[in-house]
Amino acid sequence: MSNKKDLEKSIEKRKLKRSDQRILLQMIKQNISIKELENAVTSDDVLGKEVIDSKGEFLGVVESLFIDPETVEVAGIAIDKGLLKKGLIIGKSYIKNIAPHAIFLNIQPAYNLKGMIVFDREGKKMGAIREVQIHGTKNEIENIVIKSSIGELTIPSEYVKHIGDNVFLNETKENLLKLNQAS
Amino acid sequence: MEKTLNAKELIGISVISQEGDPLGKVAHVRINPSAMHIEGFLISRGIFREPWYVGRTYIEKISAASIILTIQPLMLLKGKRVVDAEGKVLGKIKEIARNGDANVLKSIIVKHFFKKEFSLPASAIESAGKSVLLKKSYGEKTQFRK
Repeated sequence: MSNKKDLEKSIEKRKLKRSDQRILLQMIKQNISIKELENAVTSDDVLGKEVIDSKGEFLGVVESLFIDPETVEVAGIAIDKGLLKKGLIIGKSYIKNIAPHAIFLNIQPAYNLKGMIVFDREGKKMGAIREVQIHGTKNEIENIVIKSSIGELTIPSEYVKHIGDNVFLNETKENLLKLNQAS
Repeated sequence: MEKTLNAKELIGISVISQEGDPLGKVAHVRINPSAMHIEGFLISRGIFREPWYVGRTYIEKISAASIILTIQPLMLLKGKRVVDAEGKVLGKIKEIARNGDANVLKSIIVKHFFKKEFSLPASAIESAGKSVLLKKSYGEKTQFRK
């Protein structure tokens, strides 16, 4: 009995929506176990929330929550990036945590590199990233395609030294141009 | 003299931060006349913006194309959103305080619309990228130090 009362008190203390509180309190009264639900969130808590990547960039809001019907597990989310922008789908393994005000990711989506400036090893500006080619469906970069003054250059990921607010390569512009011409 | 650069050629070249942010262009090269080495560079950031001085210890590489720094200047934090561990946006960074003259953060001043500005110590920060992410959550009733 005292366990029930403690449970009821803990539900009342938590900042849940009134409707969710009522449902949980009803379940306690009917002796239905709510152990797994104590820290659970509803789909309403996820939909419409901001999504923030590992670099603190606000990517958009959660538009859809995908569920695997066979395992009954969350498979991922779709992010609405805004008017005229292509959406993004994120698998659950890339979700760090679902917080009350936002969803945090443990990655910086590779597609977000589009538009970043690329500098060579000497700090020479090579151009801006026009396209990011990834390995299959993983968030791993295979190549970046740069739009430069002399045309498009495809740079394999092994030449990417550092990705920050822009991208640094570990090779000089001249050598990379030679490599592009050769391939 | 083959591998040297002409100091004149450094004037006007780009200065890039550790994360690839273009900071400005070299306006002056400061030289220590007794030690005969470059002390640092004055970076011009445009007509309406105050120039920045960067000491030699923060320089990773100098080439004919640009100067790359080993740091992300703290001043770049100004204007960035501050987000707590619950994803709540607390405001934007209005001002930063450093430890002495070094590029070491001491605290940030955060301002949100219609709310009073408040201070957070550097120790409260989890990471600083496009936004500044804090280590813990700050509820509505949190009392902040001014």
